[in-house]
Amino acid sequence: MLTIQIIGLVVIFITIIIVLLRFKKRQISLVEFSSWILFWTIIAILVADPSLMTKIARFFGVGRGVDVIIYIALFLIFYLIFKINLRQEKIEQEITEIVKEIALKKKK
Amino acid sequence: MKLVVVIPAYNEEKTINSVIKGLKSKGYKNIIVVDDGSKDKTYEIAKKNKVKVYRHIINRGLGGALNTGITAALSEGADIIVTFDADGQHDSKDIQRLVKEIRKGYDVCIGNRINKDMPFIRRLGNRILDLITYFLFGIYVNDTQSGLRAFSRKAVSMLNIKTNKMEVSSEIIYELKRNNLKLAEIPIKTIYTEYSMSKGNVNILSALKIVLKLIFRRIM
Repeated sequence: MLTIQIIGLVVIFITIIIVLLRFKKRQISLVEFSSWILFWTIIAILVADPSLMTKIARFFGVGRGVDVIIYIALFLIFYLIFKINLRQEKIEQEITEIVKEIALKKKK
Repeated sequence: MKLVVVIPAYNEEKTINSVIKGLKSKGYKNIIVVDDGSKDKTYEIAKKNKVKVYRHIINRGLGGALNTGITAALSEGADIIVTFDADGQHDSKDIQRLVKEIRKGYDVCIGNRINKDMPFIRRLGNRILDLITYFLFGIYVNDTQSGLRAFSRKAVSMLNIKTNKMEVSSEIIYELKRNNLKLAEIPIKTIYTEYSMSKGNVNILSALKIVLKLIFRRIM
């Protein structure tokens, strides 16, 4: 096993523990918890055996394993940006609601 | 019937005084100014005119200001609510004509500013936003971005305004459709001064932002 693989596995292990702790403290829901665990487990398997990635890549008709990772990463980033945008919009609306309440209260 | 004029204002110290005085001279006594966190003297000047002034502690944009003004007007028992821009682009004589439509039984009346006098680039920008509003919400209105509108109490109570900034104008159109409210549109006069022109409202970038916000509003 290469050093980078060992580092990767340690990082994933720590991450999974963090996810576990957050779930125990009920900071994340069961759905979030299971999807994160699933996600990191898959990553761990792929890190442990990189040749699997190449097989997956072949299956999708993409040349190299690394390319598949980049495609997935790009998709995830787009999705996350979209989600963050939605959440930010919601926060903006909530701030406005607070500002409105203050303006109306002050007047009375 | 109690008529309340709501004026959302952000950094309008140059025009707010004459706008309020103009409305008062036409006999509109119930005026609500929402100072949207202005950094200039808008709040003080409005206060001096002895109208009701609500102040946002931070700037939230047109949508936020309208929402505050409308809520305040409702709690004051308004039967008809008119929104009126603070930059002096509207003619207070038009209010009566909008209100007449409400008295006729329409729920909402929007003043249409788009005519030959409107500078071409503005007309284009406004038309594009009208089309986008149509594609997103399925209702075509001649001047979605107009600041001069009249609402019946019933209509205003049904509006669920969520957006903060300029996109509120299109959101209101969507809310009209969602609640099956009866809409009238009448042409109004627009006073183009150097001042109101310099406060450009619709340029390409801001239009894009509006579109993005509207898409979010649609899926949220």
